[in-house]
Amino acid sequence: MSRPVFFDKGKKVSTFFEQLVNGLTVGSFYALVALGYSMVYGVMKLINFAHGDLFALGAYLGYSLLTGATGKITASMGLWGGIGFTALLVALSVALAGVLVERIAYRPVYPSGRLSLVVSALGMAIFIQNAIMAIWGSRPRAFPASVVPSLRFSLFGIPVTLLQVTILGISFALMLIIWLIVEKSNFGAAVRASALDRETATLLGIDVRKVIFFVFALGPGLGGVAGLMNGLYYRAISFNMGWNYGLKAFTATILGGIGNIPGAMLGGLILGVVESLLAGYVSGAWKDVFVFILLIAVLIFRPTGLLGEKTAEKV
Amino acid sequence: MKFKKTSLVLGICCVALFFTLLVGCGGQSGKTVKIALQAPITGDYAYEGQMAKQSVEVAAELINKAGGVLGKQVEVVIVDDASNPKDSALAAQKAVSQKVAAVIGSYGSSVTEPAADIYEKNKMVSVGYGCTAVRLTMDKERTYFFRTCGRDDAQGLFFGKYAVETMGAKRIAIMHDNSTFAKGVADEAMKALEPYITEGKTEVVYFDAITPKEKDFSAAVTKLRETKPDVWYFTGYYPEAGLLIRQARDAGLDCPFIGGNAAINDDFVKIAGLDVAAGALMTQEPLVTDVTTDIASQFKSLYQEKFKELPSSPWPVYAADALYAIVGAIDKAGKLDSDAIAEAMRTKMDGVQGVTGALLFSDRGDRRDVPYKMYNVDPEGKLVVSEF
Amino acid sequence: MNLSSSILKRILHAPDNRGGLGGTQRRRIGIAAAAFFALFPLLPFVDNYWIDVGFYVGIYALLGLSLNIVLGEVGLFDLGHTAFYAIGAYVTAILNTRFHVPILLLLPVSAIAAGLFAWLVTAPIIHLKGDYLCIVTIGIGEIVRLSMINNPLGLTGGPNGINGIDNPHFFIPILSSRQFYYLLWAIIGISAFLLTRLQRSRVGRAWNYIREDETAAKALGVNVRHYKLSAFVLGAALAGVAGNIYASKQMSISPESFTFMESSLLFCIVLLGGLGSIPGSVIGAFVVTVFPEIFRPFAKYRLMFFGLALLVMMIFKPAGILPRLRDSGERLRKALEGKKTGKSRPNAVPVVETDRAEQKLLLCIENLGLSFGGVTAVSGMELEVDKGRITALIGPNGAGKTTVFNIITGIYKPMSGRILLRGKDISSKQPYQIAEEGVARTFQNIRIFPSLTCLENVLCGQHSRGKAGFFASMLRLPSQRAEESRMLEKAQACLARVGLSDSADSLAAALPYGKRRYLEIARALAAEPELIVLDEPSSGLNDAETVELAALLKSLVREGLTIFLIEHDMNLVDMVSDHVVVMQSGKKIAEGPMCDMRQDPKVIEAYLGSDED
Repeated sequence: MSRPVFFDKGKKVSTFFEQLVNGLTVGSFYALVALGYSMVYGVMKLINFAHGDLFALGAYLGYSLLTGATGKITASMGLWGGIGFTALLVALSVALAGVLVERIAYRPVYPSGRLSLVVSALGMAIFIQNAIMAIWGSRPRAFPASVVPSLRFSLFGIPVTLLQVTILGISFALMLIIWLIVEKSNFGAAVRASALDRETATLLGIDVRKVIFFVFALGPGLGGVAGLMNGLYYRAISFNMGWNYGLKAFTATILGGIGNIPGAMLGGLILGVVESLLAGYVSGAWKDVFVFILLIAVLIFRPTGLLGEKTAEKV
Repeated sequence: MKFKKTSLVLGICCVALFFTLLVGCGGQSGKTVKIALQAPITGDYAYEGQMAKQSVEVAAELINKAGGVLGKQVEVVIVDDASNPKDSALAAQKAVSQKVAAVIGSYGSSVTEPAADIYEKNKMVSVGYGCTAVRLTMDKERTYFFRTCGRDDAQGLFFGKYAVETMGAKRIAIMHDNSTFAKGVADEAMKALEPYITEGKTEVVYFDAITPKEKDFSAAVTKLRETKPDVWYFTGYYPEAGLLIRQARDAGLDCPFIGGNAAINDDFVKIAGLDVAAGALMTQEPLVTDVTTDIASQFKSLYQEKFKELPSSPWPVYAADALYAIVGAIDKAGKLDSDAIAEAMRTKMDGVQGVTGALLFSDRGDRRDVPYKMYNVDPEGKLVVSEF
Repeated sequence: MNLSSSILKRILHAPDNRGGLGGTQRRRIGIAAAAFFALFPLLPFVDNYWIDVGFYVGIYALLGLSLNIVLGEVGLFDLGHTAFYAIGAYVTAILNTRFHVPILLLLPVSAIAAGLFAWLVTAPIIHLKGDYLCIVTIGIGEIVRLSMINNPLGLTGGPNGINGIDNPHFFIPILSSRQFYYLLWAIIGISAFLLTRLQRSRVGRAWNYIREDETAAKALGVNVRHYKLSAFVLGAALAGVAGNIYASKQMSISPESFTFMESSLLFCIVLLGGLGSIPGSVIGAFVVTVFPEIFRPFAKYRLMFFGLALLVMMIFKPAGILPRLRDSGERLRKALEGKKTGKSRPNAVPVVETDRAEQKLLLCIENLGLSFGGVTAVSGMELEVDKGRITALIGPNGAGKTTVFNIITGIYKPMSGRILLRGKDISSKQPYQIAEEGVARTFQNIRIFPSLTCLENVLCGQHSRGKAGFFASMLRLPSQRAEESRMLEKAQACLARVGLSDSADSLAAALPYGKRRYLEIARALAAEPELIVLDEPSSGLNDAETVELAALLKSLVREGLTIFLIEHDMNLVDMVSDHVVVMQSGKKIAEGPMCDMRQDPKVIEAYLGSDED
């Protein structure tokens, strides 16, 4: 039905780059959420289905902080200061929520194995999502324009917003920091050791409980901030927004190779770009069908994802 | 120990079941006329269901204040269909079991379909309030099904006429979200445009879907911008509509935006931001704010008093109107017999007024004369009727 | 933390093979439950609403049973099972509304269509592990749902779905809630009956072996790919049946009924009820359907409570409400006795007796090589194992001994060289084929099936000696019964051979460490192998136990078996081996009788030169 419209070549190229930037923005949100999934998975071998909903919780907490009774924050600290302070509060409270989720829903179930964990994770996800609905209502909430920085400009001919640049910048910075912590620091070494083999790590004197605390604080904390950033960027939040981001981020995690930090980032960005190119050049209606077909195709040829290591079966 | 735990669990299940069975019993008692509202109280469209519940309760209170029906008070029984076809079938069966006089419901078309089948089987009048798919009344002969809302084709036709004849749009873009409702309106709009296309007056340059519940539509709007539309019709729901219009303006797409009747409300304005929302158009049945009948003003003031706001979408008001229609029909029929009520709905509704005006139904159960209007968002963010 | 160890932990919660209720109590409850379901619609205070609730409990029970095959029996993470249900429903709806094919005729058609679809989509991805398979199944679920929405070829009616589906006719038209209820529960009854038979057969056990330990299963002759695929196909077919009935009851279907949430719900049903437990799936469906109905009055808190309930269940009853009970040997035999068993045919052992006399050389390895990502594990390895002797492979840690074993048994594929068994090249064969050829093995770090009984563990060896398939097992054909009783006999004999007869009905997880070794050996013996490959059989045994083991090995050889073992315990090697091969850095450095090896300078250097051991 839509007939092709021809433009001059330059225009087409810049549209392509525009779509690329669009995809990177979506992808950086997927990547931020995927990072939390992947970190938790790496250590716990657990798909934290509640992660997407903790992301939504972050968005709602941020909304309440920025608009509610404490909405004075932006007034006293300026817009960016207020957002920064809110982000910090959101990170801390969602991190706390993450740790609580682990204590309540996972720790007692851990001895019963992974399948039970999947169910308790699903239970937790359903609980958080509906608790958000019970507290904030079922209608979507919108961040008022007054708390959202807005500036539009053109970068190499591609229209971008200041927020887009900021979000991309912050996402990459956060991913880099996490990557540095996990790959380069001593504590990161402990995390990686626990991910490889918890029993041996314990024998080596690593406090695995501390590591678990750390990943369940950092992953969801990061997810919470991502939720806030998401709310600010798109202005609208809804109680069930976690499912969609959760599912896509999980897809991204697997695409990149689960438990692999750079893999999660790569998976998220690729997924975002692929989605955007599909929606931009193929069909919006069939987009997700192709996304999943692509994922399956990748897994047929690389059964442990793009960056996942092919582990030889230990016999 | 283990044995005790298991039997405890089983025991609790049985006891719970037993009590619910007891609760579930009881039929049409003498004192009240029970009317069920089947609505998505939970699930994806919970906000619509909850507003419908509030609206129907307000309408019931007004009716009861005015003396009820057949000398009895109206009692509203809520059954939740969670906007899911399976739950809908169960909800319908529950309404039937509670021996209500008639049912209001439901919201979505594919959710209403199985429920309507069950009501039909059990000879119970049901009046849909948000289900606009043409096929509900046209595919099957249904004796007991009615609806207070308009049909997708009427809206599609209205859009086509407005876009081509009033706006003179040469390049039209149509976007939906693959939901029953949005796809329905989009398809009907496409059909309505066909004669104009054959005449060469216009062309449809874009027809595609976005994925509901997503938040980033920048890829879709960039693609849309490249098709250089003169007008852009989005038939989906307001959460996506708000995001879409803002992202489109950010991407530099400046053509007029027209939303379908689920696309624009106060929340749309909030999500999009007033700067971009102002000027957005909407194909819509008259909103409660623009109806000046007595019933409408009573309804508005009581709703405002009870819930400190007005329903933000048109559908809850149609739910209230469904109650007015049912009560009016019972009144005209003079008894609670379903056949008599259905008969009255078709033929004896003269003078029955609802919040949105006269409540008359065609033989197939569609509401007659649902007027459509073009609304726009004024600079203050209010929805006002466009003059043209 | 793999699946089997998780199940092990579940089992350890329950002290014996009585995860909750005993067998007799269970059967009584089962009869009571069946009576309840049969009489429920006739109770005076049960109106159509509750009958319909009972119907949807049934739909979920059937779906639970179908997912239970994939998730419960085989342990495959399937979070997209709704796809198969949707295929069944849509096939029914399309063929009925367009071509007016009667609903009941479409019942098998839907089942076949869903099964075929499952085969097509899972065949390329069946090799994926755990969570990777999980996301792929989620993907399949979404692909199906979104495709239905997008109305390919105008078949599916888009988001509206399809309406106007007929009612089934079974002599009389099935219209009322009560009729639908009985139709559905009759189908559930038949399915549960057939599935129980399947559970008690070679097929059902093969599924469980894969769930418990995929590697051990394939090394002992289970064609893992075949059984995984067949589980998907069968599970999907049953889901297709559920789709058919759902569509005709609902009269209209739309993609909204087949969401990811629905798949998650099915997952919860199977786990709430108890993994692999047939009554468990029914109970799970009951809880998941009735619970939200009870909490409907709480409207917006309903799903919150539901989430909380899932959590609480997993914390306090992780093994599910009615965990699967394993059958005792006696029960298995009784099940077979029902009618006269068919004539017992001799076992189909692929080894022809005359071959034994003629050929002295049983296994020959030529120029074997394999490296992992540039690290050479084995290169240019040459080795011969003579018939009727005990050959030991020794060498320092990291010499590549276990790798050689893994190549022989087909777990790894060599990059160069050949492995000849009785002169026939087996290096390109699958592990299960090699097992069928008469090679059975044990593992260095014991791989038993922890949550199965010892008898069932040993029956795994017999798997490759039987051939009863799905239909034979479900219909319990005479040939299948004869085969089963033969397998049982053989397994019991093998258990007796290693002195574990008393533990036949206890769970393998309950065995002390030393006995688990013997269980593994009994399992290998049950495969009626010509060559038995033992990977460090003495590790973890004390001196007395080692002596006992040596005696057993020797007596096995006297009975005509050939043994090839890896061993670190030189005493054992000394006691039993006829021939010793020494390996270092992936190569053979010496061979001969043990006494010569002790003097061989290369061997001494190999052991002393390395810091390990």
